[in-house]
Amino acid sequence: MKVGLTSHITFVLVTLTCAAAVLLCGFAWLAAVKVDDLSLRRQADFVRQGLEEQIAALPREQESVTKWDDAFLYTKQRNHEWLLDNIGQWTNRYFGHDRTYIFDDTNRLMFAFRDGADAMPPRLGDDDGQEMTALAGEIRAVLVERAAKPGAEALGQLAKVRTIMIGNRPAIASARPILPSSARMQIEAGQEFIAISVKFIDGKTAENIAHHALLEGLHFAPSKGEDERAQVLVSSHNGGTIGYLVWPPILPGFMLLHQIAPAGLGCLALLITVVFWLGRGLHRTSLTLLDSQEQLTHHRNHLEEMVADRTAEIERQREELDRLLVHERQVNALQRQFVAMASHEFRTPLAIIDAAAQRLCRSTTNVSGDYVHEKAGVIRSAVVRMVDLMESILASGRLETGQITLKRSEGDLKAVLVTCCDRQRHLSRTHVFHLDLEPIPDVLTFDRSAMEQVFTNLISNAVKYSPDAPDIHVRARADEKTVEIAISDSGIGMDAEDLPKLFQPYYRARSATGIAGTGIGLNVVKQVVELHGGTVEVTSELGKGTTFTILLPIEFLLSDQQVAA
Amino acid sequence: MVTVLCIEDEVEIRNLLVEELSEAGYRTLEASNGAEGLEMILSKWPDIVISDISMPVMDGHQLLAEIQINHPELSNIPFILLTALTDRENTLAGLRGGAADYLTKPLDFDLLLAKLEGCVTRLANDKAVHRSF
Repeated sequence: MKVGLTSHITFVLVTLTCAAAVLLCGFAWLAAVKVDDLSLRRQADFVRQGLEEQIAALPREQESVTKWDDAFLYTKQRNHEWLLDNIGQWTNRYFGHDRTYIFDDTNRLMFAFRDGADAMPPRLGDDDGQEMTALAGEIRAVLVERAAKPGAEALGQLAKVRTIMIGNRPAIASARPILPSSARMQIEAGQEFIAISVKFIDGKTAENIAHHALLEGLHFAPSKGEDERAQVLVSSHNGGTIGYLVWPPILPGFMLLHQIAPAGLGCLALLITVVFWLGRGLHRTSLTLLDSQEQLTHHRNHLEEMVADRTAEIERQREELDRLLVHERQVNALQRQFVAMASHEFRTPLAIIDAAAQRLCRSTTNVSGDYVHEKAGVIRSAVVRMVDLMESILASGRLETGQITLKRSEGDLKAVLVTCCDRQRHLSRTHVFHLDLEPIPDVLTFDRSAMEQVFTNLISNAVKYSPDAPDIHVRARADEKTVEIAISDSGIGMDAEDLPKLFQPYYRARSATGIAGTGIGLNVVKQVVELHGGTVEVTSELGKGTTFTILLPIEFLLSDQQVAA
Repeated sequence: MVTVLCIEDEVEIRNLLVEELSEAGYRTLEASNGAEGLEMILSKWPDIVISDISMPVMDGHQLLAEIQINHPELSNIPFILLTALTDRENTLAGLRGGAADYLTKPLDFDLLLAKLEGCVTRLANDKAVHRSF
């Protein structure tokens, strides 16, 4: 995706640049060709124009020489060198006339100037004699004609301009009548003086044209040049071709390239730089975009992950809550069972007490002291039973709310154990207690009533759950570290599966169905023992019997501190 | 002499009950759970049975059902169930199961003896009727 996008942009940019370059080159080429064409055409126009101007100029130039001084014409013999020098130099210098001829009223050549110098005696050359004579004759004929019927045209405006070959040189010749300004010169119409000027095209004239056309290398060629566009036809006055003005044509595109190349290349370079810059910028932007896109995708995936995680977490929490709910329901069920059991447990001793009391009231036969004593004993046992149960329930309640505080005092643990056994012996006359008590430290610090409860619970359980097995074994041992007290019965025993949960509040083993019990006794035992830093273990075999073992660390039992539960 | 079987797992209550009944002139039999009770019924054929409900091995309901289903010839023996005052469910179940009557714990001995007398009278009348056929 990354590659695709970048190459796409690059492709577009490269195409644009190529197109621009092609366009530029195309324009350059077109411009070169066209501009060359235009240039050459312009040059040709200039040259043509220049030539025409040169042709048209002669009569005008001659305007300035028509008003010759009378003195010059009149005193044609006297000081003529000074005046003639002036005129000759003047026409040559200012107007570029190569030759100037003056014919008098009798068509006789008065003066002839060549290249600014006076030719004395004046004479017509071999190359131009015929032409000059013919030209003078033509003017004369016009003048004569005019004299016959005078026209509107002013004398001064009569001029004949010719492009002719003199020798093998192309020339522009113009003839016109001149009039002396002096009134002294009485000239008959038709008898005016005639001046002829000659400019050779292949000389100064061409130079002038080139100068004005801003051309270099303009020259006269009798035949056609190579490039049609770099030549101008010079035609003679009667329509024929004299030759061509030729100049070196522009090399295709050269001039343009010469002028435009730096700018063009600069522009192209600028364009390419700009495009490249833009391209790079776009490329970078596209990369950034792609990056962002990637990040977004990553983030989106991450989001999905996060959502999945959260969902899983919520699931877990829900499962946890479900479990807790189930546990709560179970506890509630157990509690209800406990309440039912507890009320049953209270009802039984109450029933015993009530029955014994009724017997005392109703007995018709046995009212002896022994009988009363016996019944009283039954009543008292039942009371003890109820009190124990009550204490157990209260202790359990306090343990649950954390209110138990062990009140430790110094005492004889073994003696407490023995007392509990004795008490139970009185309650269950069917059972036989076998005490196997080795010496344990006399003075230990423990909570007397709590440990009484522990022993009472275990011993009464042993009795309760072995209705058909009268032997109960109580054992006490001690080493340097631990005091061990074990209470065993050979009663109904328990399933192995019940043992781990046995010490949970309200829990009753399956084998105990039918035997009344609240299920809180063992929980109390465990908590009290653990508050003393010890542990309680149970082993049991279904149908064979059960043994509970309490292990108490002596170190704990020797310390002096009060421990808060 | 009328024989009364007392089935009760609490020793003390059983003893006092037996004492009271003996003094009232009944011959007494004892059992400490439903199974023992069944044995007694089958072997000794008591006239009346007084039974607790919650007992190990076999409880009162099970015993009653056992008699009704498997020993219908003995189903005429009146069962008096000992229930708790607030134990309505057990009471109703027991009565539906075929118990003749019930007594709540703690036991009122006067009430007990009165009910027994009633049973005895009905039994005597029944026998008289049967004998006449």
